[in-house]
Amino acid sequence: MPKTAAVSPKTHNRTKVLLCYILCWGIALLLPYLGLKTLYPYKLAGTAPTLSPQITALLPAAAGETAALSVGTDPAALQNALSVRDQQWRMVVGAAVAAAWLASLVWQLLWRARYVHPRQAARAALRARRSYRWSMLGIGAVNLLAATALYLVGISRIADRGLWDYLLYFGGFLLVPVAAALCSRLAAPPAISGRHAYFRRL
Amino acid sequence: MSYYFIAIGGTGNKILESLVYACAADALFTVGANGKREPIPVLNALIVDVDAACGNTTRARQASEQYEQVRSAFAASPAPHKGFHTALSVERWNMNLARRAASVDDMTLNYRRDRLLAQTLFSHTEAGLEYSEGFRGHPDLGVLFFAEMLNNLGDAAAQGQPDEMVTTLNRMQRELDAGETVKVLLAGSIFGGTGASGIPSVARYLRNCFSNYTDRFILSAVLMLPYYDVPAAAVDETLEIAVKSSAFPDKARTALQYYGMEGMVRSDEDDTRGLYDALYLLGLPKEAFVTTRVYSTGSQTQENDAHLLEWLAARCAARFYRTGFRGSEARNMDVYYYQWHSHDVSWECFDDEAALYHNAYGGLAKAAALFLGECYPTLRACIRKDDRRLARTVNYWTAYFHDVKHYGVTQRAQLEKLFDALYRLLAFYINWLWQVLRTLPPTLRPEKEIELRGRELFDVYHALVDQQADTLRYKASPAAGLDGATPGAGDYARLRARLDELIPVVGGRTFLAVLQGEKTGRFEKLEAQRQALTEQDVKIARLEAEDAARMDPNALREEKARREGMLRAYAGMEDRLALVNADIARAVEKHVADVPATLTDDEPSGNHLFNPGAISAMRELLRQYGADSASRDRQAVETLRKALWDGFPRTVSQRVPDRVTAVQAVAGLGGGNGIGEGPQADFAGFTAALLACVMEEDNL
Repeated sequence: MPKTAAVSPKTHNRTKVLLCYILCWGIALLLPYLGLKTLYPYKLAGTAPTLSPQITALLPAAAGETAALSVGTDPAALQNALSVRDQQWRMVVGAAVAAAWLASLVWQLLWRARYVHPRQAARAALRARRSYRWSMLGIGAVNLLAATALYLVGISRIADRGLWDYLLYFGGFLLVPVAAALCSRLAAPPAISGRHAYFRRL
Repeated sequence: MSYYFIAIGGTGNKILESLVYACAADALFTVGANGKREPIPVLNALIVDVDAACGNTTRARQASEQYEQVRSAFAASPAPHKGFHTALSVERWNMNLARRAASVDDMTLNYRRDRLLAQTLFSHTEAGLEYSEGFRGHPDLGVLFFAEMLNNLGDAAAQGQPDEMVTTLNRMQRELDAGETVKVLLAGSIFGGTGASGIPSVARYLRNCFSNYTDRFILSAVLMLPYYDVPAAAVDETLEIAVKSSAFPDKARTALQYYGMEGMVRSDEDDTRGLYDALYLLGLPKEAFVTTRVYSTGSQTQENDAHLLEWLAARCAARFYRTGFRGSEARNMDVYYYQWHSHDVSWECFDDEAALYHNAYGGLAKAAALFLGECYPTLRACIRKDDRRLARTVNYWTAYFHDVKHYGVTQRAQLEKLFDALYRLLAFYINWLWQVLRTLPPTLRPEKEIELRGRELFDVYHALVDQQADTLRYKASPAAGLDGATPGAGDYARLRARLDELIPVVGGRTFLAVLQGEKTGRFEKLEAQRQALTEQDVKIARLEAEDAARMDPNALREEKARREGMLRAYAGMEDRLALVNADIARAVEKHVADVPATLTDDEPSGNHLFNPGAISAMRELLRQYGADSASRDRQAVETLRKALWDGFPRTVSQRVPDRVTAVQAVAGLGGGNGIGEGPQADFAGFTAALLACVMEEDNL
């Protein structure tokens, strides 16, 4: 295929990089948020597990509001208690995803920062490729850890877990590594990225 | 308009080499109607040098060949690029020396009267000198040779023999017939052999050839006056012709007197007797001379370092090509001298072209730094070793050479050849820069450490000889008291200790040169004193011969007393010269010349053009790359590459470092795109991006 673009060396692509970061990391955070906010009430309402008191004590909702679940007399109170439990559970899930997201973002940014001003580009590109693989392993581990913790804290106590449960609770942990990989491969520093290269230039 | 450059002799070829880099920098240009610089499209160069193996000629040819390979890749690709717009066609006039008389003796072998004349005009060694190694600074031999060569050109053309000069003349003729203007510039030295004899001979021949086209045939010459010294020859001058620096000024003076003759430079457009439309004279005062590293009379060993003046000669050539000499611009017909307005060497010295030279020549140096320090090892690994890991990862490979994986062996070899050409061209350029900086005139640069120590050694030795002589005289006749002064043993010991310290610093050879200099100085003083004594004797004799009654007796007494004083001084001078001679003999016996110097002169001088450290680092890196893998110091290579990367913004001297760092340059390189397909297009795309990334925006 003939190449037709003119020679116009671009030393940076800051705007595209910023957009890429906003898009990838934004989606990784937005989709779990939307899932918990909009999908959860329709598909998983009332299925939240009972959290241990140590966790509920950390959450903003009053512990007394969930007491109705154990009394179980007043339907309105029961309704309210279930709603509060759902809310608390969603907060726990959101906090776990957000924590994994933040840790992954910091990790990915630290990786990128290492190669903004490399010394000897070719060698730096090879090192960046190697360290990118290690950093993806790390980010994957962080997300796996967060997902495991969430499973142990609550998901394992949900009876009759279905596809929606797994999708909604673990989806965020899958999206974060994907966002990290995309940002690394598409928004790497200009000195190690280029057309057709392992680290593509947007 | 067509442009010709005729490089005559070793110096002419050194100027040709600097013109190669001027072409790469687009420094040869005309000014268009809109005031924009338009690089001249083609420069036809002809090398005229009887010494086919001359190192300077070979270097100029090789540099031009590499340049043409790179330029033709650009020409075959639509990629826009900075520099490399002037096609350089270089031919060497093969004078068919094997079929010609090799010397004056040969030339006159069968002609008795000519032989007698030759015996009258030339010494035995001169007449026996073979032309194949040049004329060894003897233009009288060269004039004879060129007269024969040029007179026989018509016969060669009639016989249909291939001859580069005839081809060039025919091309000029065709262009003139087609109504084009032809500009021819001759360049060479007028203090050597080939240049001094070839320039006037060829110029006169060309002017006669195209005497009917004076309105469109423009002829000029760059004449190099003495600007360097050669080391003393170690040959027997009775058996072999030696080149001596001391003869340069006289030769130049004689040549200038010849050029100063009426009718040499045309007075106006209608002057049919004049030869040149413009003459450019370049030279240096004696105190600004540098001595070449090796003594050579010709052949491969004649590879003198490049000099700033050759760069300026290229600038004169550029000025000639863009100056009009006809019509309203006929006033430009003149003799031009290069005016240097400062006491150092900086970009500002290039006057109105300072920005162009800074950006273009500086850009080439920065391109070399990035290419050699960063790209070359990677590109070599990707092409030669087919390192796929690198080829998938490194941005400046993937951006331009993505298709190489589909290339066959031939295409890969073609790409490799192009990269070799770029590598060699940049290597030539860096070597040239290094030499220019190393040989900067002493008056235009700060004193080097070794020069400072050499001067101190001279002063210390001078004082030491005086001290020794005074001590000896005191020991011989303490009663005389040396005018009441007692020589200090402490001073002597101090001077001797300092001398012993300095000799290993500057080296034994420098010490021997100091001894020789001291001897020469002392000898000249002694001769002057001898002359003064003779004059004093004459004066006293005259006084004694006069009538006693008319003469003041005190005057005679005073003159005799003065003579006594002069005699004492003369004896002291003799003692001192004897001491110096004894020291020289001792130094030779002890092989002092073998003492190595801790300081070296082999470094570029301080200047305001380029960072000497960066240029030296590139040169050393080239040396390492050129070494075989067993003798290559990998640690040194890494250190040099890192130094070039870190010092990239300071490669070119300026008040503040360049805003483009090596990181930004590589980022730019990775951000470019290739245009077209095939090895030439890939290579052109990469090289164009390399130049674009390192050069400033407002250049060229």
